[in-house]
Amino acid sequence: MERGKTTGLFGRAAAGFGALFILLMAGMNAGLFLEPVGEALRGEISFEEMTGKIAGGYRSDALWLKDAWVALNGGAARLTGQRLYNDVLLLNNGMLIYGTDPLADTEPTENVEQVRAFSEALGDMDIPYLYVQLPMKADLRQAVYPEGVAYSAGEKADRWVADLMRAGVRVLDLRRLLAGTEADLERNYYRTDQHWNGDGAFLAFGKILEEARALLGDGVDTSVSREPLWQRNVLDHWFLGSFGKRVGELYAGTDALLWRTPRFETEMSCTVEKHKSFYRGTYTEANLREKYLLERDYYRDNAYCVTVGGDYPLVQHRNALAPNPLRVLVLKDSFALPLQCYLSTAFAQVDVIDPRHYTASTLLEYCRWNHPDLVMSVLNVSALGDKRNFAFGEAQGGPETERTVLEAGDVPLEATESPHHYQRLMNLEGGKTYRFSFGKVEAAAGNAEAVSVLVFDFQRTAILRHQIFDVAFSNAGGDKTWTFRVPEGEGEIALLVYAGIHGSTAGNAVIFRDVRVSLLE
Amino acid sequence: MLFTSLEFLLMFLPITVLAHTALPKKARNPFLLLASLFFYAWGEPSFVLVMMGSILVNYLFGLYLSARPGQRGPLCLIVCLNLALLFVFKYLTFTLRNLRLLFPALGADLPRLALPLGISFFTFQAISYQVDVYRGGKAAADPLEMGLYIALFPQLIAGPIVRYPDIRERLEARQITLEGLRGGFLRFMEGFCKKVLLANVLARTADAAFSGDLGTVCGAWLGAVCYALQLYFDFSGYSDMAIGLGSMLGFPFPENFRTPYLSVTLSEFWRRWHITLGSWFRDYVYIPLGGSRGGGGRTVRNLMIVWLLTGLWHGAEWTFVVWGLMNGLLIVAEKGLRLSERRASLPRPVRTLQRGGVLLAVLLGWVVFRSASVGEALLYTRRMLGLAGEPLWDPAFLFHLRQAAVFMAAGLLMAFAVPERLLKRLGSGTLREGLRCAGQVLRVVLFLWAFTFLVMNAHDPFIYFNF
Repeated sequence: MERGKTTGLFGRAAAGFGALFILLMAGMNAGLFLEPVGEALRGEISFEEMTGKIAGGYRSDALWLKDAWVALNGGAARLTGQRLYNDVLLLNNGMLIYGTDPLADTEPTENVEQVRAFSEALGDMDIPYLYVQLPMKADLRQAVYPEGVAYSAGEKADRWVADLMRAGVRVLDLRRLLAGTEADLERNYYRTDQHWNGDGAFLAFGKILEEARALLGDGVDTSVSREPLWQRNVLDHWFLGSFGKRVGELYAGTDALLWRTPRFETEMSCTVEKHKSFYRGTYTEANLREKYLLERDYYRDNAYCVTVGGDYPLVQHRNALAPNPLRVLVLKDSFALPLQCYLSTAFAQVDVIDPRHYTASTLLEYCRWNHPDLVMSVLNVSALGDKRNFAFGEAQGGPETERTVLEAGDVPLEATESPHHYQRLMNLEGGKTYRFSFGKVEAAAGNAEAVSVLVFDFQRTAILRHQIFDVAFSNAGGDKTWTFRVPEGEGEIALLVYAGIHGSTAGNAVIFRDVRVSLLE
Repeated sequence: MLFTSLEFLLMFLPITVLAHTALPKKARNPFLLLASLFFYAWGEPSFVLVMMGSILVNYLFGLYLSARPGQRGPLCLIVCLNLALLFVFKYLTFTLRNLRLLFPALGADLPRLALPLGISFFTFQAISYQVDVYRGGKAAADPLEMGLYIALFPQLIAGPIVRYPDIRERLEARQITLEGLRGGFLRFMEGFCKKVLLANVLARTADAAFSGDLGTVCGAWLGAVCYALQLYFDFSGYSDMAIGLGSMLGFPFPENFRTPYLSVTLSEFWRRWHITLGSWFRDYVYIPLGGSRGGGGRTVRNLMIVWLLTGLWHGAEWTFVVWGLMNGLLIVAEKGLRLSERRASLPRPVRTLQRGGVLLAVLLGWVVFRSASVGEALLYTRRMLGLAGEPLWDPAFLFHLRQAAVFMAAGLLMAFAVPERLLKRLGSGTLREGLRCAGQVLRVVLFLWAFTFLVMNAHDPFIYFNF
């Protein structure tokens, strides 16, 4: 290219086009700097805050046609042979994976003792424990890696599983079932995401039920995982996974979103404690988040979360038509999102905890308080490097005695227009463990399908702990107790019961029958 | 603020150029100074005061020297003050660190001073200004002019180093022409593409090699070549952008690179690479020391001083000192063997070998320049020469070679000016004109592609989310 000379018409055209492009982009993105500048001129923010906001704005999704630029860049990267791009690796079979080995700097076998001790502690409580190992995409398939790229995750997972078994932990290793061949990978995993799809999760569902049956007996009905009982749903070109979002849809394409729904009758609920959300109805109504199916947004939505909605500290599934009264606790990573929904059709209660985010108690305490019939850890290989998945904790002191501190009998709540209509039961002390229980909840008016029970700090106006009960499920014999520990500290902390879900009590009148609170010491 | 950032490209650049063009002539300098200070304050709000202080002090000294020509004392004082500023921010920690090695009793904590952006450049500009005034040149008419000379944003961060006499008239009065705007913008686009498409991409392979991911002989060479290209396109690209911006604002900045990898001697290489720095050292250090007058011994001394200072100018680390001295010694040897004068009489194969030797010397110099320590530089060099016991190549090398292939090929073609030389050979005619037109189309396509890199570099979605 001639140095700086406008070579006749084409040179002038090139300069003009470039300048027009800049002016167009500047104009379409003017808001990204006008607003912060305005705030700075009004003295609302400092100069440094202004520059930070402007720079942040240009890096945000608000940049005009950002998705298109990302896609074009990814397409060009593919054309120029970039197999490793924006921290994403393109495998030989066209699938995407982490650019760097997620286990490069960790040795999972360091956590074997924690798992063994946890398994043993559960054994002391007569609770069987199952460790389920899922494959990270391609950790067994060296052939799909481009030559010159080394991944040690597969070998480390092999050692990890072997060591767990040697330590006496019951292990269900599903790696070869789900990802043993290239065909398995392509069938069970999303191309542009690190996760498996609905088919992969369904395969695991069947195998886990078989193990659960071996542990818990005939009460576990494995027939619920038969293929003919489930409908396979597909939305083509619907999903751009986490890896795909980093490199754009022109780099490796997009995925069809894949999930399964039961053909048999269902009546269930799903509670997401963090967002105080309660979903009740059929399997689809309780477990699927419709927004991911109605509109496609490659870059701002994560359609993988169509089941449940995302990773939350605690999710509770309740199944009114379950083939058994069993309660299962699943300790999981993000791979469990489709799986936990499938499992909810096989058990009356499925509690799902993400150990990376759950802080209301230790995991061992949760088991001691709620005594599930089965506890299982379900982790994929890439999660083995995160020590939080193996922080099972101690059961602090352990309840030697349970002493009733409140026998409230019937607690009625009249209908009001307030969305936060509650009754204060009693004050609580920081650091203590309590158990709330009731005999029944009757809805006298309104439509309280669920009720909230809160530990609330009036001094800081903060919800410290929160539990939602599925009214119909509880009344039919489901869980009616909630054990919790009040966080340490001073304050005006109280236990509250609500006429419905916190924030949605307007018009509801309920009566809690036979309310009792005991102190665990 | 970087030229290759979205906020520069989509906010600062269009506003500044449009406003500067539209404003009446009297308002242009104040506006440009404000814009330049805003540009500098973007990343370094506290150091704007350092720069403004430097501007004021240099302006006052310039006035004094202008009124009393030939007074060495004040000149030495202001040069020392400028160097002191540079020393404190750039070399103090390095000096103390090394003194502590010699005198462990000096147990004080090392000061952690952030390096003001562009301090090496604007300090050298200030020194050249004072010397030029001392030598009878005109001083800046007012602090505004002085401020604009020092702080003018196109060349503030990474040069080219501009001499005051070269732009004085333009500071007083300049024309904004359509040709200047067009040509300047084309030049800016060219530099932008060099920096984003070549330098930044090749940097990945270079970084992988220098961090030890490519532990083979071929891997080391690949890393070295990629770094040589990265450095060239990074620096020359930035210079192109600066020159283009200057042109858009009515300032003709000097060229800073002239296809240095085509050089046939090392001396020629350093006359083609970072030209303004080389000429600065020549005019303000080498010649005042006596240059090549005064015999061979003095010439060697002067050359080594210049190259020691050149090395140090690039950074406060021993690697830069070693790099500078290496080049000094090689140039001394070249002059001693009179390679430049004898070149024409050498047979062609020898001339080719000589050119290869220059490239090799430069390449090995860049290895030292890039390495984190002298020890690492030695290790890397041994790896390149096959003396570190590592294999010739491995699959990782092939993987990185494939990653870099397209960009490396493009970089080599451009670094050796292959397109220009081919065009020249074609003479005039339809084919040549067609290729030149295609070149302009390619320039636009590459510019758009480079723009997508800016967006991509700022694109960092949480690898999985929804919590």
